[in-house]
Amino acid sequence: MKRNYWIVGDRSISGKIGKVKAAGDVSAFDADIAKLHVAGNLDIANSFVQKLRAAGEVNAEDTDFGYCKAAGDVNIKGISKADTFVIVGDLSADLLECRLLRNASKGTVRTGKNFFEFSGSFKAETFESLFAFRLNCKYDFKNIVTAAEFFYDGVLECENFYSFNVIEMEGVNAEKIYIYPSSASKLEIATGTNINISTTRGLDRVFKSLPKSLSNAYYTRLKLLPVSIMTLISIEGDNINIDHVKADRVSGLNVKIGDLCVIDRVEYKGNIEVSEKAIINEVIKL
Amino acid sequence: MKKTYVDGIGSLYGGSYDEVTVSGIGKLKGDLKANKLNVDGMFKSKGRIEADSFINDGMSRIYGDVKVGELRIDGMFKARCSKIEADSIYCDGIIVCTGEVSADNVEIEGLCSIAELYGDKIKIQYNASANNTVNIPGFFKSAANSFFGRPVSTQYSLVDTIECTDLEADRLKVNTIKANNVTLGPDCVVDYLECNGKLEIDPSCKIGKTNKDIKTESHNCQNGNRGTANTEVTIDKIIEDKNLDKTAPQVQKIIKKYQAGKITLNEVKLMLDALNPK
Repeated sequence: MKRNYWIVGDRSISGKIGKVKAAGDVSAFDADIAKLHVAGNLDIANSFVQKLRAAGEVNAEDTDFGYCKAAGDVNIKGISKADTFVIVGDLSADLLECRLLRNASKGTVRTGKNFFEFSGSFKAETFESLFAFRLNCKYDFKNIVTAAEFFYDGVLECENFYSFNVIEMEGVNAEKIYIYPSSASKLEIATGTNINISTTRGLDRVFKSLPKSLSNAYYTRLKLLPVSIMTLISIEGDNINIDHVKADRVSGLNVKIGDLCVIDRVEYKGNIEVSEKAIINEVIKL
Repeated sequence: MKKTYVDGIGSLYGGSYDEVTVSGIGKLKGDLKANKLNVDGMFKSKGRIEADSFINDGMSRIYGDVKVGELRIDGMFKARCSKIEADSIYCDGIIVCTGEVSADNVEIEGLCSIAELYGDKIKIQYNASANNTVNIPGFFKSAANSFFGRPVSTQYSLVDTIECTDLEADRLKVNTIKANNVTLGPDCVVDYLECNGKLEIDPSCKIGKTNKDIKTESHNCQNGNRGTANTEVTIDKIIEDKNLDKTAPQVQKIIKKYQAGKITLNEVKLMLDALNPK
């Protein structure tokens, strides 16, 4: 039979456990826990926690999680797997594999000088960033959705990239790219199949079908930055739809240049649409 | 895949089905996945519903999240503490939701009372000729409100917040509208309206606050910017402030667009900012 624990103070637990509510330090090993709420430090090894909510430091070793939400520092040794992993604080892991990874609690879209960082290796189907974040760890993210400032040194590669805030990186290479244009963003090259840089929220069908820990309505309600024009060097893709963009070169199969674009050279193979509010120096049909 | 039906009184404990039909009084006690869910009688759900199509011809009381492709309501649909997500929603009856409703296309021709409505294209048309003569007496009104969990009115469609791309509505009472294009028909009451594109408002509407900048911008666009000495001085000053060369081809093109009335002064500023990001 599964046991439930109410813990005040320090405690060590193991075996099949139902619900644990702890105020104090908890040490768990060889445990299978259905629900663990802990306010204090947690040291856990060779265990599985279906649902973890922790406020304090978490040190985990070879432990898998179902849903994990932790506020504080989390250190993971060995390989850990999780379905949804939400961390508010610094995270370091030898290897964390999860379906959904998020770096802040719901509703936190903060910008400023502070930013979170992860260290180690991370693999996730979708990474959602709701707090200013610098990506300087080993990553394998299929989808990246960022609602706060996002920094990366180099060319970011993933399948679907959605940015609703300021980004700073050398380039982005993805199947589907949506970027909300901002003059504060620093991006040189965008390469992809479908590229959409637009002040119209890019909550298309692809976005809606992405696995996310937050609802689509959350992203619909996101407060967007004031309208400004984003500067890039080059945009290359199959289908390109841009507005509020200044670029040296735009090259694509089907190109739609929207309002307030200032483009030096546009190359296209198929169709082109140009807004009367856009300025283009040179249009070339390939 | 299985088909199941309730043709009298019965309960469903959830699971995956091809088609689920409730013709009498049915109760769902677990999570349900189905291609098609038809309700012809009374239906109460305490689980999560995922379906391609949900056709409600009777009365549904929903206490779990609903994620469907198509939601058609001909009877009464009451959702409490739940989230409705759909590709398209068509309502010819009554829809009441204390949580959020989000769908690409929403068309409501009946009576609605919704806390949060999000979508791409939203059309709320209240069939006034059929209903406006009905007035719910005081006691029944409070009983109806406590039954539905939200205030309901036979005079207006009631929504707390609407956020969408295109909104078309009449006889709508709403606290906040945030939309790109808004067309408000007769007798709408709006506390706060934020519109970034086309805005059409019937004179009988009562609007509290609006975002005025958009109004002035569109006004400028219609009138063009040609001619007056003041505007020329202003654009010259902007170019000077930004240390730009007025003879540069891109600057010249921007000035031409402005003089042709294609872009507004604010847009000129944005474009010149981009030319000189310092």
